[in-house]
Amino acid sequence: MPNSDKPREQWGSRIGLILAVAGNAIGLGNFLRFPVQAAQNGGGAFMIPYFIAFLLLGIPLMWIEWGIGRYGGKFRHGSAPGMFDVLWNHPLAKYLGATGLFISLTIMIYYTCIESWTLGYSIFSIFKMYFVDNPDFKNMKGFLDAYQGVSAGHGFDSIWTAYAIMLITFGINFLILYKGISAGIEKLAKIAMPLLFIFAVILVIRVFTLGTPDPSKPEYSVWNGFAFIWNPDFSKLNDPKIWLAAAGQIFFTLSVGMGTIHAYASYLKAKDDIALSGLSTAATNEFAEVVLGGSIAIPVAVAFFGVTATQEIAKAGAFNLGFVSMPIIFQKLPFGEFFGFIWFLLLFFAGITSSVAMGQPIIAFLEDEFGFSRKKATISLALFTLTCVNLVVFFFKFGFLDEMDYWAGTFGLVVFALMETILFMWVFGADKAFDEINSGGDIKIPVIFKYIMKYITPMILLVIMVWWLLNDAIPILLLENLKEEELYKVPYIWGARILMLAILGIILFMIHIAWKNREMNKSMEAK
Amino acid sequence: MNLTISGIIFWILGWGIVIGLVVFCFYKILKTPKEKGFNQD
Repeated sequence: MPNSDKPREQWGSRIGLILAVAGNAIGLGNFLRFPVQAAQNGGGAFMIPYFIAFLLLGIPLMWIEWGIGRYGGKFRHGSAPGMFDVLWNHPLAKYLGATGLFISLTIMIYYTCIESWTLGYSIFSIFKMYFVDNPDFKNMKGFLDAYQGVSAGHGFDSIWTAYAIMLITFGINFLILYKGISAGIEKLAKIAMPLLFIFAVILVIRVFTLGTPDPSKPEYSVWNGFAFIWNPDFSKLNDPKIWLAAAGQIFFTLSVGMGTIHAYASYLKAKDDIALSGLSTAATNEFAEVVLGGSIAIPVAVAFFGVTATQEIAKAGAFNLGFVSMPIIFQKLPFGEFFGFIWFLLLFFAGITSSVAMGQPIIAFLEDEFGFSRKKATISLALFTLTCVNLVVFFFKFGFLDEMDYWAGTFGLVVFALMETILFMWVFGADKAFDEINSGGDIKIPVIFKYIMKYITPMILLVIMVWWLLNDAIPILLLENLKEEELYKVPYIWGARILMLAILGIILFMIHIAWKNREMNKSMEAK
Repeated sequence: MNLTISGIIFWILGWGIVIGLVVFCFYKILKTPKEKGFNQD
């Protein structure tokens, strides 16, 4: 039963809130995905669609989510089902909100696993555990595969090292969540975020001072690395895929469409500013991405491997860049163990400030809709998440994580973002929504954004959704993307799908129970 | 691949937009009365 007498938690300071929401947004993608996307999609020219998407999609969605969150908080709702219910007086609304809980919970399940790799690698770096005499891609990929349990060797006979580090990561996450908004999440943000920026600045300075590491190969220089990222290729702008890639990057980097910003904003007071705070978090994230993220992994890869090899690394994906290429570079650098340690610790801080944000909506749901104490809500979530994380760790090599990442962490985000934009700007009403966002604001949002949020943002989201549906979602659903030698993964992929359907089903059932209890309480009070 | 003039221009513009936005936001925050609204009824 919801406890409406107990005061809700609050943020201790504005800077703490901004750092927490920025921490939610700043993730591994800022340092690994962005430079790969920029280099692959036209270099400097990529920044044209990127900043246009930031203006028309990123900032508006940020404000929409802060607005929905603070509005829902007025009614003691810290998660999407309750928030959607107050935006749209319709029995279906709360069930649409299940998407927000499903996405944040599902991403948290597999993200904890990825995050634990970064913690593991920071420990391996300081103890030089992956250091060998002649490091190469095959060797480092072998180390990564052995650590993840894909194959044996490199000192890992089983998956238990990865599992133990995952449990430590898991424990830290839930300890922070248990401590609450101000004493847990805000405190973490105030410690982890400044450290993350300090580590990133140290690495950027090191990259800038690298010059040409091997004088016999003058073309292998850090400046050619920056050329790889920033030299514009305007011919790419004619390709609609580049525009979609830019919109997708903005979408992922700001961590919108997950229900996490709503949960954080729900702990604000009705007259607290959201206009400037929302813009500040978006700006902080962009600083971490464009200035810091764009100046580390790709330029250093070009300095050590050259442009051609870096193109291949970029094609192999962000994880190979972070966990295979970077460890080779650290072995070639003086004090490489130190730089490796801070690189992976930086990624760990980026990860943990995001993963605790993903746990908060479910905790808020259990507290606000079922009257659970923080302790009971945290333990319930921890037990459920741990059960599911086990499947991700042990079935990783069978594509379990990738399947969850696509449906919850990619396609699901755009579905939820489109849903919330339509509910807020069209059902709740654009005038009311815009007034709500501006209420208590320390800056006045230009009125043109009301029209952008009402017409342009949902239109872009619709285009992305339809494009992804036709080009990715349907082939992935029908397993058309699997190669002949990957067919052994099919039962596990279906296992991941069944797990996701079960998570969604449980959430829908819990929403049904919560609202049924609410109706019963209302009728009892009326008598 | 050498860094071209247009590459330098895009680099400066990219960083300039982001740093300018961060400076604007945090200047506004610092100018606003301290901790306005937070923990105050």
